[in-house]
Amino acid sequence: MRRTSTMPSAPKPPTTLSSSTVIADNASLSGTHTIKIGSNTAIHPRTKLFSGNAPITIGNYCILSERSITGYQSAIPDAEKERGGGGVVIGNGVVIEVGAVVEAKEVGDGCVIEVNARIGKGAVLGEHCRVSPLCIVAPEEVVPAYTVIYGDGLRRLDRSGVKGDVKIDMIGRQADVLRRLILSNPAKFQS
Amino acid sequence: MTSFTPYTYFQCPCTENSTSSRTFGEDLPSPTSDTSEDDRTFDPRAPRAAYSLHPLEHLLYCEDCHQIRCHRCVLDEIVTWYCPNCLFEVPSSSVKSEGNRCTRSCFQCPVCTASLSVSSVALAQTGLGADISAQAGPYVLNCTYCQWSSKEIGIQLEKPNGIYAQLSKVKNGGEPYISAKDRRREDRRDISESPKGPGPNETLDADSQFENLKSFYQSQLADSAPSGGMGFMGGYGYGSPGALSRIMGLYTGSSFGDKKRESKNGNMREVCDSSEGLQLTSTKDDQCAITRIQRVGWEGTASTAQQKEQAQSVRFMDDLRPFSHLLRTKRSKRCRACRHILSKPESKVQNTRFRIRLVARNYIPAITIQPLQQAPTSLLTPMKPVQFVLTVKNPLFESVRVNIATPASTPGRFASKVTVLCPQFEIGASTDMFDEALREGGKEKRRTKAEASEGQLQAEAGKIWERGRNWVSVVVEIVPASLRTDGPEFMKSQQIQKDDGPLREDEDVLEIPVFVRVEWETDAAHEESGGLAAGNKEKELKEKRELAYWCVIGVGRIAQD
Ligand SMILES: [Zn+2]
Ligand SMILES: [Zn+2]
Ligand SMILES: [Zn+2]
Ligand SMILES: [Zn+2]
Repeated sequence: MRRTSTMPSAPKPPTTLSSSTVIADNASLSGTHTIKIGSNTAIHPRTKLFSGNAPITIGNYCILSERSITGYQSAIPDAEKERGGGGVVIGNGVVIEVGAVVEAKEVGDGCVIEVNARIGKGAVLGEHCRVSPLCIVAPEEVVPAYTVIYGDGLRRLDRSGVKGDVKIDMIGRQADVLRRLILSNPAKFQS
Repeated sequence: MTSFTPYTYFQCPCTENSTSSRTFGEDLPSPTSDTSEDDRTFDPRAPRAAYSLHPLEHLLYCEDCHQIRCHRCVLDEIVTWYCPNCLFEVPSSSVKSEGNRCTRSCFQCPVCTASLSVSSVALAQTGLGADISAQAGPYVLNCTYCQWSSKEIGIQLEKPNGIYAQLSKVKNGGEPYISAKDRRREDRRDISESPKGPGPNETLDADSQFENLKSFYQSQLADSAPSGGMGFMGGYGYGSPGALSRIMGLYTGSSFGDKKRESKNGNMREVCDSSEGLQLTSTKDDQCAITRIQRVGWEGTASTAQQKEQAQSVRFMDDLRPFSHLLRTKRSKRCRACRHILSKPESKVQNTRFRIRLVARNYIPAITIQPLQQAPTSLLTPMKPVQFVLTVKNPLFESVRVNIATPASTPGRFASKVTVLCPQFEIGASTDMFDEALREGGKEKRRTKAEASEGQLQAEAGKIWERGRNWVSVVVEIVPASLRTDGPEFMKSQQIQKDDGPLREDEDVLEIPVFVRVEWETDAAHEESGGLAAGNKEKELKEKRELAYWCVIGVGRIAQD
């Protein structure tokens, strides 16, 4: 059953969307800080972006899947604010899978955050990291580039030589497919 | 506080057999009437008990011996070998010759043990899509879970199939693997160019070393064995021709066929170079390992779990190799006593059904226990009587008489008192569920927990608490023991006086040994066959059956005060 709210909707957060952003009609963008989304990025239905505590910046060619939550869920300490904490910054070609919670300060280019993984508040992921399903990155943790987090918190460095541009190209193709599948409504989120 | 789930474990009688005695001249005791064991209380805490107690679901039942059978008193027979990954049925002859691993294309990741998939290197460069599925080009093994790739150990494959054969021909780093034998053959060919051939200290890989050692010692044994030629297996068994000629030699006093042995005797020597499988260890190897570990660091070393999976001893991530899946088996089980089959799966791998499966659940009553009143805590209060409902469910098509016996106090240091209010009762047959529904329209109202707590119905001694179609529940009253070991001397039980050490692991769990005796009558005719059956039919006799066994009921944990 579809539940329609009769309440006046919460104030929209200020957003900066690219013209090529694919953003589903029933994605949820809330909060007070700026949400910036790059070009060719696809946001699935029921994806949550919450900028109530800090701004969110998402790069190009990213895919954010449904029920994933991005943005700080709790207030950032003042010290962090003074240092000019830019909130959550997600690089290019990042895939955030279903149900993942991302509170990272920084997610490097080409990272994959798998189903129901959690990235703790203020963590930093280097480039091309992969967080396997249900894995957890502790708050404030710094994960070096090319790290694979798998199993029960095991880590390894992927030395098979990932080609970043190839990966981003692949995600670009996927975003193209999603453009045809997802009913995009960027106007709804623009203020 | 950890929660506690009440449990019932059944004792398989196979452990009793080793200790029971039989007086001379007595008939072979039928396995169901073990009167001598009745007076001994089974102690669930005895070290041996751990090996004889099983959940009902793990037990089988032999219809011919009329006895419970556990995994220790059945014989396993392998029906099929198969690969769990590709479900290919491997004939047992090839298991013998090629080992117990899949020799097709099933490989496991050496890092995380997930199944590896084959992908084209070229595929990754052009991205997703069906149009490139026909891609040729070098292939790699990929782990989709931890992202390990055979590229990391420098292995690329030419074909996407027959991985096993391809992998066995390539070393980590991509160099072709040539066994020492092949190398020697090649060396021999161009022996004119290199007169030395392989040196005596040539380093061998583990496979060639084993090969060399085996062939060397086999030839040594063949040479030194009496009368020679019998090789390895000639051995010293009395039946062997070698032994026979030795005995003949003793009698004739001559060296009957023994000249060879005498000349060769004492010539058995040990390996002395690499062609015979000798590998010298040097401090250089250790030095190499140390410099390598300094270079690659902790990240570059393999964990013990990873090392264990490897066929050869391996220390570094670079040396890890993908390993093929271990084969699994489907087994049938036979009764050790009468050799009848108790369980037989379908031999087809894809078919998960069983042709025969005599599980104990269908033959012996299941026993469950529940607290009568919902206790506020999950722990049992010492010295405060509690009542539990013991439910016995009959799976048989005949009604059974059940006799439940428990010791008045539980064995062990902390003796709790146990009273079964109604130790003798009859349970109806496990007939069709609908039969009952049609026959009696809710004649007997079920007692509810609420009624019980209101005190409308008190548990009475000698009365059944509740009865259903094929089950009966009775009330058990328990006074949990105090777990204190201190206090005045005269208060202590004998066991605590002997041993007043601290509480051991799980000693606070209240376990009740219960001796269950089930009696029922069954048509003798349909079980027997041939002439005997005819005889029985004439008399129209019902055969009396009896089954008796110990089981242990875990009730709960006693609170420590
Ligand atoms: Zn047994
Ligand atoms: Zn296989
Ligand atoms: Zn793996
Ligand atoms: Zn049997």
